[in-house]
Amino acid sequence: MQVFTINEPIVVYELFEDEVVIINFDNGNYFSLRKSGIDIWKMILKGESVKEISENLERMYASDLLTLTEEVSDIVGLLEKENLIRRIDKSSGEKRRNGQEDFIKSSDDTTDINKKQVFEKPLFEKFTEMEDLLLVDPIHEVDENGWPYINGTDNDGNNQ
Amino acid sequence: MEIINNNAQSFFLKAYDTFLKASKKKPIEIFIKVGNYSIKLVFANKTLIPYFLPAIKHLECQPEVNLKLTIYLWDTPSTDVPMSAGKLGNNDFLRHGLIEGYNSSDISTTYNMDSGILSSYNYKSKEGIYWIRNPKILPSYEKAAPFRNIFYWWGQSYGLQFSHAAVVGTKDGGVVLVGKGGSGKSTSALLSLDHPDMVYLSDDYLFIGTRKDGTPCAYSIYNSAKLHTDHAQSFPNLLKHSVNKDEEIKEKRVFFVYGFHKEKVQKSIDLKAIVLPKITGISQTTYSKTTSSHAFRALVPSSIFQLPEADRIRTFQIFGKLVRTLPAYDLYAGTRFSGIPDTLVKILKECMNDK
Repeated sequence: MQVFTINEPIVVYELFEDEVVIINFDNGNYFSLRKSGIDIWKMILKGESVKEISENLERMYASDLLTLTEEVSDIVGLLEKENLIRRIDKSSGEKRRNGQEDFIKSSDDTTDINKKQVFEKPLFEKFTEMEDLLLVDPIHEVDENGWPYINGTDNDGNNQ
Repeated sequence: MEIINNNAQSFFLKAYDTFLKASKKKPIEIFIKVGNYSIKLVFANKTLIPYFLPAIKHLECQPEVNLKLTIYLWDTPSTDVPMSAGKLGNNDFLRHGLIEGYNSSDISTTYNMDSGILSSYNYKSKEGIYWIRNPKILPSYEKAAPFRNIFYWWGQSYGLQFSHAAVVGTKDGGVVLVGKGGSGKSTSALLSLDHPDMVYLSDDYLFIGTRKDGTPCAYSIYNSAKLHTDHAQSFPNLLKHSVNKDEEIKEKRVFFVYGFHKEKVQKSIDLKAIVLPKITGISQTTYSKTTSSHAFRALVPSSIFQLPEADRIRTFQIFGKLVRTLPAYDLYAGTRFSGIPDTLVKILKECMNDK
């Protein structure tokens, strides 16, 4: 069974009550994950598969499994596309036992729709304004002491 | 496992030897204090002093023996002593100027191609090397905030987190103004100079630390401030103090606040709130509470990605703790500028009343 893990060490995250802030050190992009996206992220951290995450969400939220599975697949796809998570293989028996226990405990009556929360689609935002800070320096010449300088300028900064 | 990199050590020692050659006559020593930490700057000659001293003038102090950091500075044109890069290829110059082979667990080294500055720091001996290829090509931002990388690396050993933010305050404490470029941090910080109750610590970079009782605090490093040229025209009283008002328009206007508002510059302050300015088009300035996560997003990326790749995880954790400790506010900055510092004072009073 395929599950996911955070793409460490290039990805770090900080978990708040209302948001997960995720940073990709490789490209400078950072992300905000909100609403049900927070629960999905937590379940990814636990090593849940898409199926398990969807089933767990069904216990928590007043929504059908098909809709939840689509939403989870979409958000997992986005996280993977941005290199924030990657796929790993996990033994299905062990993970199912660990993951299911926690969520069964937190929801005493899984059939009473009145006790379930209203499902809000995961909200995923990407911020790219830091990308330029991570660009490698442009093609350069090297001076007589081995130090690079930007093509087209001399040691005094004059255009050549 | 400690990775022993003889190349890094050798390069640092070679750089230090080169400094010794450069400072043939007696070098000039200047002492500054950041918080309670004494720092010695050793200049090979007087050439570089006017380039870098104005930004840190407010920290100048009497000579001290219990030093926590020593930085050796020289340039090639005035000393006629070149600095060799050693056997490096194009692929050895990485992001943020890090040099492959000259970084280890004990040494951090970068070379900024734009400004021609070599920064190297020895974590064990607490010494830094700062060589300038040619001071005539130094951009204004380097004169406004020199030794950034060395301060970042050094600060980690003392619980001082180098941060991209502005800090202003009153006798009640300070607010950290955070946000990406153009959000109004610098404007809000400089406007505090006109408010009788406000003090100024920083516009762009500072150290965030904690007092012994765990109170978050800020330590000033630079008394400089920068404004975009177009925007600076709205502040004629300020513009006349710009040190580069005649330079090419693409550079930001640089001000050394200690040069014209000495009494306003404060070296450290307890932090009471995080403020996220936003420019509105309306005249009145207002504010509202915001979340820790929002403050984190405004503070962390611009701080982390301007720093060479040292201990980013630790930096991340420090900022995570800070935003959970201090309340955060959105500041909707109005076009009637006097409202901005008045509102910052209100925010501080609210923080004091909430305690």
